[in-house]
Parts: sequence; C-alpha cells; structure tokens
Amino acid sequence: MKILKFVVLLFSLVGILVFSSCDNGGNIAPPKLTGVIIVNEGNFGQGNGSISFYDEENMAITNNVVKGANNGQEIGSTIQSVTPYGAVGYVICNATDKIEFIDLEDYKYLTNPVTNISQPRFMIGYGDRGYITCWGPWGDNWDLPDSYVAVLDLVSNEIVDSIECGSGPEGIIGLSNKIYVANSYETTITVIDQFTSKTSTIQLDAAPKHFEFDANGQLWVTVTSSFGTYPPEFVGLQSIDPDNDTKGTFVQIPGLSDKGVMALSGDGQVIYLLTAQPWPGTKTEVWAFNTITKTLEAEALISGDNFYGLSVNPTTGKIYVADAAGFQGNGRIIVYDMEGNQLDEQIVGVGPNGFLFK
Amino acid sequence: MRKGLFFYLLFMAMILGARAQMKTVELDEVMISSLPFEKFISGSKVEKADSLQLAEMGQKTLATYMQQNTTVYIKERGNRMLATVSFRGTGSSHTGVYWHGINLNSLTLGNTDFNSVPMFLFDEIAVEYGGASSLHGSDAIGGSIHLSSVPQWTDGVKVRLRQDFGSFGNYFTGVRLNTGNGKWESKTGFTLQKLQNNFKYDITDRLGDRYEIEQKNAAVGNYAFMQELNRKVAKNGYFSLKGWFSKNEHQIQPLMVTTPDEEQEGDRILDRNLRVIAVYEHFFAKGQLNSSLAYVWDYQLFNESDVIETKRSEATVDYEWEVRDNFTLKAGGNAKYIVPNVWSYEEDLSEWRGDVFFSMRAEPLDNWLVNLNGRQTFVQNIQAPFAPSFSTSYTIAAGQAMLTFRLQAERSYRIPTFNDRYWGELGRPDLLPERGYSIEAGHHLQWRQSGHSLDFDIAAYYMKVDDWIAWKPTGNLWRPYNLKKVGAGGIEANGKYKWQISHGFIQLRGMYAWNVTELLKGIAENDPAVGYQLPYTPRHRFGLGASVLWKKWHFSIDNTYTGTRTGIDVINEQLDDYLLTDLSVSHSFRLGQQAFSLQGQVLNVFDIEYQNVKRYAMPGTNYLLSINILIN
Repeated sequence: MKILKFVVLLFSLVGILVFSSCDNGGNIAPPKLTGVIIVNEGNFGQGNGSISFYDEENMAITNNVVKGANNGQEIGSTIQSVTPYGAVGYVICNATDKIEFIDLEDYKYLTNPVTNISQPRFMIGYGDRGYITCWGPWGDNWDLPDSYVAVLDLVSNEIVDSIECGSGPEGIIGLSNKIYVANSYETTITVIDQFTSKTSTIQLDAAPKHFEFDANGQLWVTVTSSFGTYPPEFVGLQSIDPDNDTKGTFVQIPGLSDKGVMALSGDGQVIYLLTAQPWPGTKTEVWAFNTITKTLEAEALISGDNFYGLSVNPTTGKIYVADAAGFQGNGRIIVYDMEGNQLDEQIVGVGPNGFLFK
Repeated sequence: MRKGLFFYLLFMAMILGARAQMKTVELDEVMISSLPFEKFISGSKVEKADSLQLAEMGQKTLATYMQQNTTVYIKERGNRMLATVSFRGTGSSHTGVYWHGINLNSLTLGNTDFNSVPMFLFDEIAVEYGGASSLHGSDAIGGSIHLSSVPQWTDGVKVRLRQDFGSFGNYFTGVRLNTGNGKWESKTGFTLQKLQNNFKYDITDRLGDRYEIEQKNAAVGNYAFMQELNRKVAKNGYFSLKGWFSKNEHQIQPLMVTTPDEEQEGDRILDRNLRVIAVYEHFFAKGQLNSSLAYVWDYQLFNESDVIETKRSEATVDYEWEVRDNFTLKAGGNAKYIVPNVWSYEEDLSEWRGDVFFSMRAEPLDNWLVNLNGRQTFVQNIQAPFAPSFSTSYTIAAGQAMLTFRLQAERSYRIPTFNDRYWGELGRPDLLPERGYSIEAGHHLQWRQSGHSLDFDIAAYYMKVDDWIAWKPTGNLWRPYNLKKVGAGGIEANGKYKWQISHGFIQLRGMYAWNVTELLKGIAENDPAVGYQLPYTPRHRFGLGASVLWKKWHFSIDNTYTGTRTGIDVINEQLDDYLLTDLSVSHSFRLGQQAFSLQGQVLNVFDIEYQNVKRYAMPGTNYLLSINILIN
C-alpha cells in the first residue's frame, strides 16, 4: 500500500512540475512605417534568418519584426535577399528554399510561401512579373549545371515559367525590355528579352555578381575572383553600354569582396564597394568610386571588421554597413555619413547582409 | 516551476520522515568498478553508472544516457541525430571521449557524435567533471568520458540478448556473448539499431491553418560489433585484445517546415569506425606495468561524395610504482602516428605526436590524499602547453556518515583539429592550442545505516577557456584564428537516496546544475555577443527520478528539465525550457535456466512539444517494448 501511495505521489509531483512550467514567448511592438529594413541572412541551414527594422530618425532598432508581427511565426530559413515591390516584400529564402510574401507596412504574411523553387538568390519586379535568379540543385562536384531564372506571377503568386541562364546566377537588373543576369559560377552575363524570353550572352573575364545603373545610364557590374579562380587584374567594376550590350570601361578594384557587394548613391554618381585587405590583413573596407570621373578614391572611406553588406539610403545619403561578425553570433549595423563618420551602430540578428529603404 | 520544486522538497521531507518506521534490511551493494587513473584524481568529481544501470542500458546511446543521467547538456540536432556535448558550458570539442584511453573525438572535426556510441556494448562508463588534460591529453577541458569493457574471466558461457520494438520504426537488437574457462575469455558484443523516425509534429501555416506533418528523411541505421579476447598470462599478468567496429548511417533530419508542401531535403551521412587495442598489464609486488598498442580508422562520407578519413596508430606504456604504503608514482609515455585522407589537405600529410606524463599520489595523513599530475604533449609545429593538475581530498568520518572534501586545479588544452591546421590554403599550421584553466571544490556526503543509504555531492567550479578557435572571414576567405575567450562558472549537485524495503528497494535520485558561461572576448573588438551566455548553454538543468524494485517488478520514473537557452542569436532568439518525463516498468521471471525480463517504456509521457536545437522537431509520446534474456 505504501508503495502504491508513493507511486501516486510521484505522479502528482510530475503533474505539478509539468503544468507549472511557463511559456516565455514575448511580443514585439510593431515598428514605425518608414525607415530601413535589414536582412539578417542567418547561418546556412539553421533557418535563423530574420528581418530587423531601423528607424533612422530616432536611431532605434527593432529586431525580429516578421516574427513579432505574426504571433511568433518566424521565416525559418536562410534569407538571401528581400525585394520590395509595390507594398510587398518578397523574401527570398534558401535552406529551405522558398519565397515568402510579407506586407511591407505591418510585416504580416500575405499568403503561404512559394516552395517549388531551387536555391533562389535575388529578384527584381517587372510589371506583374518577378524574375528570380535560381542556382538550381547542386551537381555532383558542387557545380551548378541546372541554374535558371524563375518567373513569378505577382498576381497569382505562382511560378509560371523558367528561363535558362548561365551557372550560378546572382545579381539581376532590368532596363526597358531587357533583363541582365550575372552568372557567378562562370564569367558571363545572360541578357533576357522580357517579351520573347530569348537570351544572349556577354562574355567577361571574371565572375560577375551585382549590377547598378549610374547617373548616365551606364550599367556597372562587379566582377570577382570567385575565391581566387580569376586573377586580381580581372577583378573590379566593368561598365556595359545597355544600348548595344558592349563592354566599356573596366576598373580594377583590389580586394573586391567575393560577394561583389556594391551600393549606388541616390544621385547615381558614386558607387560604394566592399573590399577586404589582402591576407594576413583582416580588415574589411568601403571604397567610393566616382562614376562620372571613373576613378576610385585614393583611400578607403570606412574600415572595420567582418563587413558583409553595404547600402546607401537614397534620400538621406547615409551609408549602411552590415558587420556579420563572422556568423558566430549577432551582427551589427553601422551607420555613417557620406564622409565616413560613424553616426550610430546597432545590434541585429545573425549575419546581416543587406538593407532596403522605404 | 518554483511551486513544483517546493512540493518536491516537501515530499522528500515526508519520505525522509517516514523512513524511521520502515523495516530495515541490509543493502544490496551495487557493484561499481574503479578506473586505472582514479587514484590520481582524488579532488575531482566522477560519476559512474552502476551495474543496475548498465544492465538496463538497452538501446541507449551515449547521448541519451548523458541526457537522462547527468546534468551535462547534449545538443542534439533532431531525434537521434548528430549529438554533441557541452560540458560545463564548453564547446563540443572540449570533452574527451575515451575508450580504453583512445580518444574517440574526430581528429578532423574535433568532436564525437554521442548518438553513435551504443551503451549496450560497455561494462563501464565514467563521467569525469572538469579539466583533465594532465591525465588524458588533448580535449579534456570541460570534462571527459570513459567507456570500457573489463575482463570478467567468465567460466562457461554467458549470453545476454536484448530486443526492442518501439514507435516510429524503432528496432534494436543487442547481443553479448561471453565464453571462457576462467583463464581466457572471449567477449562478443553486437548491436543493431534501426529507426524510421517518422514521428509527427504540428505546424501552423501562414494562413493560420494547422497541419500535422510527418517527419521525413530522418532515418537511422546503425550497427556495431565488438570483440574482446582476454588471457591471463603467468601469475600476475593479463593480455587483452579488443576491437570495435561500427557503421552508423543516418539521414540528416531537415528543419521543421513552415508549410505542408515545403520540401524536406534529405542529406545523409555515413560513419565507419574501427578501433583496435591490444593491452598487456603486469602486476608486480610493488608496481604495475601497463602497455598498449592501438589502431584507429575513422571514415566519414557525406552524401556519398565527400570523404573524411584518418588512420592513427598509437602506443602507450606506463609504470606505476608503490614507493611506500602512502606514496605512489606513475610515469609513462605515448606516441601517435596519424595519416589523414581529406580531399582538401595536402597529399602525403602525416603527423607524429608524443606525450610524456607523470602522476603522484601521497597520503600525508590517513584521510588526506594529495595528487600531482603533469603531461607534456609534443605535436609537429605546435607548442603545446604543459598541463599540470593538483588534486586533493580530505575525509571526515562520523558514525554512519562520511564527508569528503575535494579541491582541484588544473590547466588543460586542446590541439587544433586537422581541418583547422591543414584545410587547403585556409588551414593554419601556426594556430595555438586552446587552453583551459579551472579550479573546483566540492564535497561528497555518504551516509549508510542498515536499510538506508544517502549520497549527496556538490561541486562548484570556475574555468576559463582561452585562444578558443573560430573561423572568420579575412579578405574573401575564411580562416581559423585563436580569437575567443570564455569564462564559465557553476554549481552541480547530485543526490541519491536508497531505502531497502521488504522484497526490494526504493531509490530517489536528484541532480541539478547551474552554469553561467560568458563570452569574455569575441570574434572582434565589438562583437555584440560579448558578455552574453553562450548559445545552446542552459543555465539550469535538473533531473528527478525514482525507482521501485519490488519482488519481480521494477518501476522507474525519470524527469529531466532543461532550462531556456539561446540560439546562435544570443540576444533575440530564445528556446523554451522543457521537462521530459519517462516511465519504465519491467518484470523479470525465470524459465528453467534462463532469466527473462520484459520492459515497457513510455517516453515523453506528457507529449511535450520541445526543441533541443531550434527548428528540429522532436517526438512526442512514444513507446518501447523490450525483452531481455540472460542465459548462463
């Protein structure tokens, strides 16, 4: 009998322990509607990508805004990029691969994500279509033989088409009826005719990553070493004349980041570039390139540790740098004025990689 | 939570108060064996599984054993997936895992998958807390774990069979076969574990609809084979040859999905490990010679494409000399030759390592023990630190109680992994070893009265790990650096009370750990994580368990609580705490010469939804049915 009592007591004890265990979920107040959206990439394969919001005027940060606005439902992937188009933020995720749709006003999910997509990277909106560069599945030797550009119908939010391109498509940009795709696992740009989906190719000397159009309508593309595959003399900024898709000026950028990160000033006259000091140097730097004189400034504008993303607020001209802290933990964003003086810094999520301004 | 604890304490007090009325019977002493180095660590905390626990190991892995029986935190990336250890707040490669002195940690990656070690195969497991590089070499910074099989000099044939069937396609077979004539002995062990792991979990999609998802691509298929030959040589020596081969293959459990149609991609990982050791021990009137030769082959294949392989040969010899009754010295050396095979390393890469070590035990007073130990490792291109330790204990006996005070201080180290040093052009042969400094104090209370026994242990520690290696981008490439510094402090308490009743006993177990592990120096000057508790390092863990053995029945209940932890985002991402409850009932009976026992287990009784590592689903309530057969 005593044993029976004992067992009963034990069970009731367990009950007390279990049901008094409390929930620690917190709520985050919805942020203000204007300011800077920060993409925190998260660790690859850990699903801890997140979105932060920075109020530039009041210099205040709110982390995890999407999770906060959706009852704790986080994005749950690695986030490559976010493309704002209309009132919608298209969150391009990989591992697991999907595109989430969030309302840029209140960060609420608009619908379920699109998941029939493979390793998506970057997107542009064009009319009622979205064009998304996709690496496709890995090949046998960690190559990318089946890369493509996915076409997303922005009304039905469904993938309606796919266009072949070179291997490892990264940056994407459009002008009139043309779409330029940087094939980063080779040395080409694929040019897609938006109406016919016909493609042509521009040949380069190193791996292209991202595009910007400057004040004169010239297209600039960052071409990178791809982890030492291409020699330093081919690494830098290449201009392309969009009228006939021929190559123009090439400017070598020593130590240009392999991600080919660049940012254009609001007036289109300055391109900011992320570079890294040569080994054994450990600093990362921001350099300014004048698109009118086609010259690089004599000295780095900003220098620091573990820079990973870079952008410029087109209205205020403030320079935003993301310090990913080597993906070891939380990253930071650092805000500078145009002369490179630090104005603010804030702690964000894991691996901040980019900014959007709204 | 607090309320629950209060009731528990009240309940404990009631039980304690009631004991006086109980009939007193002599205790069944549970067998616990001692380890060869144990006499040199008088000041350290060591926990061992007793013979009863060992007999009921079943399909437990080192990970499940540690989770249920110790306060050490195991980080498990999904159910029975890659499980690494965080001992006193340290990293996954700061715990040495040893099988007869062979470090199981991968030389390329630095850690051991605790789910790849089947506990059924071993006769002994000891968990040693705190740094112990002076005794065991590299990696023993946070703690060390010792697995072994010991000669039992079987006379005749002894067979143990275990068969489990459980939820989610769980199937386990275990066989232990010992034969011998008292002078020689053969011990064979075999385990086979299959697990479909297709448990279900709930999700809510973006539109608020709820779905039940079946976990896919998380299957496990492991087997292990162990063979041991023991032979007594002359009067005072014995020779032992042991081999352990295992093949562990599992899919890598994908992250939880957010919508039902999200694809769960399945990577897979295959490990093959062979460990062979030949041991000769000889006992002299005033001394003992130990020698061994070992060979280890570690092979890992990821997605049938990337091979990571190392082969190592090892020789160790030491001599223990009892200079006087109260004074013992031990000294020895070890040499290793390692050949890795990893696609990114230089071809023809190989490495020699050597150790010299000594230990001293003195008993200046009857109840006062003092140990001094030291080890110097020599590694090609690396200046390893000398690792000394000082360990002492003092015992007071009063009536039925015995109180032992302990104190220990040591310096420990970890040699960087082959990946850190030799990975293509990124690896850095000039990396420094990581260094740990720790100090701890504790006491152990033992109280025995006819029919009752109480053990209570408490330890407090502080430790620093410096030159902690992290990979960070420099230029466009990631390279390892000696960057971080971590400080950890905490308290661990364990208690066990056993009370003999007619036809059996009642046992109550409790354990608690409080750990604060702070990042003192980060990856860069302005690393935001500095000052925060390290990710996946709970501040609190506790366990409460009870067993009742009555006639042929054995009931037990175990509760383990894991406190909140953070993810890699130490500021914004918190993982909820969880308390898991497991129940077990077993009944033993005899059929002729054979002893049988049937066991039923209910795991996660209250169907708690929890995550050990963020975004990896874990199973709810599940069941396990086992049969054990002993043939003598």
